[in-house]
Amino acid sequence: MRVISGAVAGLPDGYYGRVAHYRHRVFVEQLGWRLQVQDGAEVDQFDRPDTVYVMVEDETGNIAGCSRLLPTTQPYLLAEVFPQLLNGLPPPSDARVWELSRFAAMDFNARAATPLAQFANSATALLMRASVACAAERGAQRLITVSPVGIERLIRRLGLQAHRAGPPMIIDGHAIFACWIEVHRSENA
Amino acid sequence: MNSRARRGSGGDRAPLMVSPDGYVRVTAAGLRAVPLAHLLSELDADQNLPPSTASGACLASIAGYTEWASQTTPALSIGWDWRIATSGCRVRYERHGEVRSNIMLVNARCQDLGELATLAVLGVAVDNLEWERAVDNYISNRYACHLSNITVTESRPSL
Repeated sequence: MRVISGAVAGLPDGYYGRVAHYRHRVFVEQLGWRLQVQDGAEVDQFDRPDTVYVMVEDETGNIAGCSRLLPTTQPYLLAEVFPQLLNGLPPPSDARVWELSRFAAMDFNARAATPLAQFANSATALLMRASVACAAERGAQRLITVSPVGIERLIRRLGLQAHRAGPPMIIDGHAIFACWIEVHRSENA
Repeated sequence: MNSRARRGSGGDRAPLMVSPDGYVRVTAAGLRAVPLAHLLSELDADQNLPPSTASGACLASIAGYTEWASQTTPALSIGWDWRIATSGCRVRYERHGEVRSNIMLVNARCQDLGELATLAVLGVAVDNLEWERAVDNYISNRYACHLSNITVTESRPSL
């Protein structure tokens, strides 16, 4: 497996489109989230030129996982759409805090691709660690995630230093929550 | 700067606040004074069935997670994994692994007890909480089948 990361302009040709289609397969088709879609791609207002993408590609060239990193000094998903997940804390706006969202590692070539199965595959651990490292390279000291609650179990299993920001909430029928990850204490986990 | 909180009861105690790092800091005594209510529970998909215990059949494991929270502002949030343990005809829920929360326990001088000590205390608090019935009721209603019936999943013999 290999990791590819960067803003849109720095990605190899075609990779951004492949990520958008992969996200559509995971979040819209598998998880049933009601998101903006266009021609089989899932893209929203936070997919901008400064957005950083992290992808894991398997040995056969298929995308096996992806995530999205946004600086909290610019508009980001948690602050704009889900601030209630912060349990009353004002959304951070700090160059040392980045948001991790759209984290997915579902192997569609596996015999049984289920939402839970993603927590068991090797791409998941690689993607999470690569996401943390990528954020650290950009000056992040902490990550704040907005994710399905299952991500917290993954974070715990990987030994990352993290804790939830508040209780999960049911939004559009899905339990989501926000979680803090301490970047430097998680890099060597 | 902390976001000041209001509390449903126990006005003589320090108010709950959420710290900039996202933790709600509270003493063990303060934690015991805050009731927790069931928020949601979910079943895990059974992706790894154990080997057959009899020809053509196997016991499916039943496990999931549950989330509880206080009615305070800010809220105390605790979640944990559970599984159903069977022993003969007896079926019972048990906590599986450490709890997950937004709580950092502090001592009387407001010094952090640390993550490990906090998890240990929260684990004991969860085990003293009568959570099993609430989870069972919620899961039973949500999935429309009662868990007191042990699920036996038929598996097709290999061809």
